[in-house]
Amino acid sequence: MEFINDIFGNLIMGFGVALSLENVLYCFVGCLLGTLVGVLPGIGPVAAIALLLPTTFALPPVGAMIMLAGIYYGASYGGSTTAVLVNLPGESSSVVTCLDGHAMAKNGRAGHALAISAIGSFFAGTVCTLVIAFMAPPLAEVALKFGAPEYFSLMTFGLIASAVLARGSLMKALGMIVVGLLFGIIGTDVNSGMSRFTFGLPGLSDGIGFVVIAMAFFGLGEIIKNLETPNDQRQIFTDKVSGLMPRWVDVKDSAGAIVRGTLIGGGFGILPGTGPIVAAFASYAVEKKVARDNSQFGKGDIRGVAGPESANNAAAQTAFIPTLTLGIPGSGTMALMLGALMIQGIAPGPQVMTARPDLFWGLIASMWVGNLMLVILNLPLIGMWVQLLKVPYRMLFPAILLFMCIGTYSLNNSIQDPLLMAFFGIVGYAFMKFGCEPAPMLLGFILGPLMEENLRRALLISRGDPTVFFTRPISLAFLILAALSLLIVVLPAVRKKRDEAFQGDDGG
Amino acid sequence: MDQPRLRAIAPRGAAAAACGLAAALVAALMAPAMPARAQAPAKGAATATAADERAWPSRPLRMIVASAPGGPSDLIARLVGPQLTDASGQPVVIDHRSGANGMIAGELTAKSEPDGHTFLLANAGFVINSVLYSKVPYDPIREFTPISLAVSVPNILVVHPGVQAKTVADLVALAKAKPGTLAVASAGSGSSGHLALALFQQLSGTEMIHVPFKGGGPALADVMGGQTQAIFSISVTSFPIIKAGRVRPLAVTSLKRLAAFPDLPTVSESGFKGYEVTGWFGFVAPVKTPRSVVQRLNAAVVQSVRMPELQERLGNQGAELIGSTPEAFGAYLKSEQAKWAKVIRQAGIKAD
Repeated sequence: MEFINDIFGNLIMGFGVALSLENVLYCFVGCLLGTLVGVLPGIGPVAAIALLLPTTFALPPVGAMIMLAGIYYGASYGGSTTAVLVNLPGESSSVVTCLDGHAMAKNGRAGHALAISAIGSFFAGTVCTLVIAFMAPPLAEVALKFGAPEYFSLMTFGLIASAVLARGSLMKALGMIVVGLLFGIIGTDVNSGMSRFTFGLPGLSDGIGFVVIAMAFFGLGEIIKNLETPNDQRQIFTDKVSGLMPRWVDVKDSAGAIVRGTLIGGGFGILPGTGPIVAAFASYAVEKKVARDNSQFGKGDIRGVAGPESANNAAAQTAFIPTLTLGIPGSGTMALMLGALMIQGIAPGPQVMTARPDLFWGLIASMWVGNLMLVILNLPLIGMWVQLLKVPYRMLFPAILLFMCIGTYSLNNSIQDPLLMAFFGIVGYAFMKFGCEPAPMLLGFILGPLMEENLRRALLISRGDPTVFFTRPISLAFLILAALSLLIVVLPAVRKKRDEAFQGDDGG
Repeated sequence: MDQPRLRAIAPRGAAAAACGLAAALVAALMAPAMPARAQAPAKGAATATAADERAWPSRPLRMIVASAPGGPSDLIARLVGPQLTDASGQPVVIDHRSGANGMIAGELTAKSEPDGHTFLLANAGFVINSVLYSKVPYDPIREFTPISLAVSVPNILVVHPGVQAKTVADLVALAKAKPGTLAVASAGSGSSGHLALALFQQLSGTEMIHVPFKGGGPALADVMGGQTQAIFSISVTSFPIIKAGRVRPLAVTSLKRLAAFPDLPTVSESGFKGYEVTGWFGFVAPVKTPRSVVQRLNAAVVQSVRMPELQERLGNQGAELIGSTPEAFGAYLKSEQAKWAKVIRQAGIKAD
């Protein structure tokens, strides 16, 4: 009881800090800048924070951290906006939002998609702020229990469960996952330090950036596809924009997805290295599986937006847990935030909580303030974003292309990334023509290298003994789940094939 | 104080962020299209070198950093940057060129105009790469002129609290009792922690499992979780974790004990005399940079690392602020290269 009281006392102190006029202002400026930068394709939270970090040096430590957190949320949210509007993942975790979000926009429901994503994100943000306040230290301990075998088994489960991402043929989806795995292993092998498939190009030694490939397959692919259709037919897209605010039935439909997305995202967020992208994919897969009627997924189902958007925001939030409680950054963004702390003269680490309670609790309170700010900031902006769709496509697409090039260039300050994007744009277009979906490919691309790294690390530590995956309880649990989902995925496919065979269909 | 600071350390394009996003983007887009030469005050100058000497610094300085934002290089760049601005009177633009283990940044620096406006914040990998990889696009000794060794960051050998070792000798005994069972994490293949382990194994005659990670953070977390048993982790990152009792420090890899941690013995005094592995951050410029400009850059770097602010932020975290002469730094680079060539050959570490 006393523990709970303590936390409430601390939270009240935190809100006292976060709600000072000055800090609310920093939070607002951060969210605004973050949103504006995040809307630019390819410029995700890392680039946004790196770019804007110097503007916080003159601020007091608490103000600086609050503003950086605002930039982080703003950039995360801004990324979803372009995903919905022009099928362009503004940052990596909004790839999944493209699937149904953009389809909704095509049906004239961009406003609904943007609003539900703001609402879902706010809900997820609120829940996860409380989670951090009450459970940060024990959750950090849970994250530490995850060694290589656990990560491997979790990824295996994720990969199999996500086979449901496939819209069309299961074979093609599996093929695309393999393609993704292959793209994913380009670069320096973690274990041996050897280069693989780099063709002697130094720029490939760190592998291909996820943003590059995601923008190529989604953004560029979409542009080429749109340009294929003659002008007069393309207009359909812009004409019927129904109301901006979601209808009550949309909110009701999405409620379950938002709650599940929050749980999934919150869980993935605490594991360093997996984070928002995996959370968003996992949430999408879950939504598609639990929906009674999943025929609309990929064609503009609002649950396919609500779930992943809540999940990636939840994960973005709980990613603060290892950073704040252990001083171990879970991502590039978090590493930057820790760097900002050090520049402010504060050694990050477990003692921040006790040594600087105003900073710790002020930051937690400002997380919630930041999430609220985003909703207030973004709901009115939706109208403006939707107007963007009315811009004639012949003017819109060169602008999009330009921003994509700037975004990819900014990843490493290197011309190689825009060139790679162009190359993969062509590859992506070819795949699209063959009816191969990019989503399973991207999943393989993310999970493949992580699985390999952890599989080999697990075997290295166990000295080649594979039973390590079955003797550790957490790992075993994930493998059992993986086996179960394999059954669920495979059985209907087998049944369908048989039905088709009976009807004399060639099965396609 | 705050104003020039703000201006000073803006990474490319970010200075403009305050004035508007569009400007930032334009800057980001334009920057690569502006070769160093284009802005040099070459008009009417008989020889570029002579003009540069008098004119330095005539425009913003470009500090190339061999890693992505976040992490120790970035931190040091952002801390030293404003001090260099104060000393030179010109803003310092931080240009992150990550990739290929720092070799992209190295090549870029080697090929830039040697007029003292472009220099590289190099780290230990700068010379280690030259022996680790078979194809390196630059020669760290011949194609660069040293400016100053700025900061030296030793590793601390830490173990998970559950490991039955309170001293280095205990750990060696443990490793010898059960060869090939202790798993030692590192920030990656060829990282300073990996080399520290390799040298330690060679000197102690032990056999442990090297478990590379992608970066020091996840590696340290793995040791905190007890998945792996030990790590040579850079002092700045490990300090807070040690203070919180999450890992047990056994020894520091510098020759002398740390001022910030006087109770912690060195590996050298724990029975492996002469053992020394320190990560470092120093400044180098393209080889033809005029002597007088190098001297002035050196003075600026030395002055900046002596600022109490840096001492407070890095020194108290186990880093050592040095600020050596160009000659001393040059000698250090050569000795480091020779030392690691031997360790890497003997341990059979390769990358390519």
